[in-house]
Amino acid sequence: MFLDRVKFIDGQEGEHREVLFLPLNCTLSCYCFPINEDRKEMVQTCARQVMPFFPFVFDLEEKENNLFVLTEMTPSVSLAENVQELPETKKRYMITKMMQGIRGWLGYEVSPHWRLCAPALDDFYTTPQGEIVCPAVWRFFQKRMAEDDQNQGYISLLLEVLQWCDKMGLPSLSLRKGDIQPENLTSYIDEMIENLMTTDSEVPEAEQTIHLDRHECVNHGDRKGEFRCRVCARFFCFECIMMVYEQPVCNQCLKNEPDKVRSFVEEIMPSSGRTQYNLWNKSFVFHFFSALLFSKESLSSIFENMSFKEMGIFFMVYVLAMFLGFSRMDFTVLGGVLAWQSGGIGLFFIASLLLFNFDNPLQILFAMLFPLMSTSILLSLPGYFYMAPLLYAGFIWSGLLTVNFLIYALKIEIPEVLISWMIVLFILFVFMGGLLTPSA
Amino acid sequence: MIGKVVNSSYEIEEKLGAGGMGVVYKALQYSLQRPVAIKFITENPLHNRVMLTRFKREALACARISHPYIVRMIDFNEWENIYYLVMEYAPHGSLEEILQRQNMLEEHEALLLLLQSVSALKAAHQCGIVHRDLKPSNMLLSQKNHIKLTDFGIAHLDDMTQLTKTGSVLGTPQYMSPEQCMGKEVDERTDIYSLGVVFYQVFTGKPPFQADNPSLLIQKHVYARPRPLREYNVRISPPIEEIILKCLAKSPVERFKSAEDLEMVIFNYMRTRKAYVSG
Repeated sequence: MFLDRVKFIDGQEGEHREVLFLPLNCTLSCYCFPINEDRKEMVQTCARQVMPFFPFVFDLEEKENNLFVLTEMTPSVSLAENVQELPETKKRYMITKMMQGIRGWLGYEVSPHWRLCAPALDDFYTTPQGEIVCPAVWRFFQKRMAEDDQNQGYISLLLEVLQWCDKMGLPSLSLRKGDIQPENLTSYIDEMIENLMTTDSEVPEAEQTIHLDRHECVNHGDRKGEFRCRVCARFFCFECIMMVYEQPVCNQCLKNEPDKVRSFVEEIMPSSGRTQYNLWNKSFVFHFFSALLFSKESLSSIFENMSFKEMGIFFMVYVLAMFLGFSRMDFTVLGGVLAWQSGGIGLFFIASLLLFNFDNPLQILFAMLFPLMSTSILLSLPGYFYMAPLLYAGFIWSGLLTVNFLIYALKIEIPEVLISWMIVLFILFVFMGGLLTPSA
Repeated sequence: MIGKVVNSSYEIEEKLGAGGMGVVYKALQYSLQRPVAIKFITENPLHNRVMLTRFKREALACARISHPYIVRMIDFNEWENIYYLVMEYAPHGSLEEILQRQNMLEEHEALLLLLQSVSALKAAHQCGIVHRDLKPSNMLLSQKNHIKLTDFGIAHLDDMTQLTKTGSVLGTPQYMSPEQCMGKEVDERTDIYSLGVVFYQVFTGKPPFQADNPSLLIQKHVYARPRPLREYNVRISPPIEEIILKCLAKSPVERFKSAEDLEMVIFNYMRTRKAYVSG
């Protein structure tokens, strides 16, 4: 419903009038025809389809047996006039652009009853921005006729363009005019475009359709390759990729190229993510040391990545693991060590469980049961007393982890030298524990 | 909102997304039986006049430009005391979505999109409009995967009263020009910088600057030099690298002075591309 919101600029009644569209304060064209269902269908087709040179249709309204169509304003400068003034390269560019648009029209299916036939050269106009427009394009819809003569309008237009080019002195357009046949029209237009361009990739490619999704899945030829693997750069469908840190990586690379995947992740991830990834991939022992060396990063990543609920679960499980350890305490030093160890191991595995998104149920089960299993196995061994060096190591590690945790929580900056000394002390304690315990 | 009919003209079909200024829905335009996008302003306009002014400004800015690579404004009206803007519907999502899926594009695809974007910017600049918020999510893709620039909400219009105080910063940090980061005056070369950032990402799969927080990112835009594109993608031709890096020059004086200049440089490159490929 636009008629009550436009102001007719020129007062003359007629098929085409200029109007001011008040809501957007812009000048548009308004076409008026007697109501006709066919005409309405054509206008709707023009509005729905994106075709080269079609003027944009804003709205359509029926009133008093008339059909009003609001479209983009008709430019006043005709293409033929405008191109005349341009330097040769630009001339070639504009004509090529026009021919590519026309080639687009040729293969265009409008509807089962209607087809688009070619306008005359005088029907093409240029906008102030140099874009080609063919206003009132619905004039060029015709009832479908026999296939034989369907391209006659285009042949006439092509001949007209050739004459025009001859007149402008564009020498490289050497088409055999007499030989143009309806069935070969597309190849003639292609030949013409090639003649117009100095190389086969000149400017007017901008008018071509871009097939961003034309790639096929490497594994499933019938599917679109919507995702490009970040490692091998091949295209895959949704089924063939895995999202690694929100980046698609194909299953083949994940399986066959773990080193490439790792280096890709190390490259794209910020430092905290990189630590996580390394922790996940390296051995279990490395977990311990990276927790000591990179506790700040790993702990900060815990807080960055966890939701409140997850963090709640994390600490509850930690407390539970500590409690389980203490429950086995026999009021000796060794009992305390075991308590620390089970708590510490529990902390680490549950952290891994929550942070690294284990997707294998066995991994999850293992992570949950490991602290309990390790403690139980150690305690059930005959003469577990002789496991003391190992338990000492667990004790020291758990202690350092807790200290690190406190350091992080209190936001204390620790110099690297101190961390190095802590590691040395850790190793010393392990050896001392090994030496001292049997004598005890 | 889904299923409601707006002013007897548009039937809301689905929600497409929500932006800074409003919520966007896909709707059916009854008169032409075609899909359109409708943006409803989220805030109560009576309580936020600046928001409403920006909303109107977007409508007027876009309506002034008639270009195939810029989203057309179809209508601007009020329904149940909410202002809405009817726009052309771009069915293929945004360049951001394409980049999320494909990371980077092939050089010839990227070049065509670059050319279209430059052509759209040229038209906007000719109408005295600086976009100021160019980014992949504001570059939609039409039925034929042609670029459709959108979101002129914070556009700078030559002949309109400024909504921002001098020194205020508007835009998206990832794509902001150094002068924009510093709250200085902006002109069309600001858009050229942002376009450079977008296409750096399109050609290499990575933005030129990355940081954990916006203030560090802004610092990098102002002081850090972008790494050459060919360090990330060896297949990029040297002239393309040169063009993008020139767009990313810190000083506006060192960039292309207009979108038209940039367009001509790309034209010339495309004409000689064959020689580069074979050579």
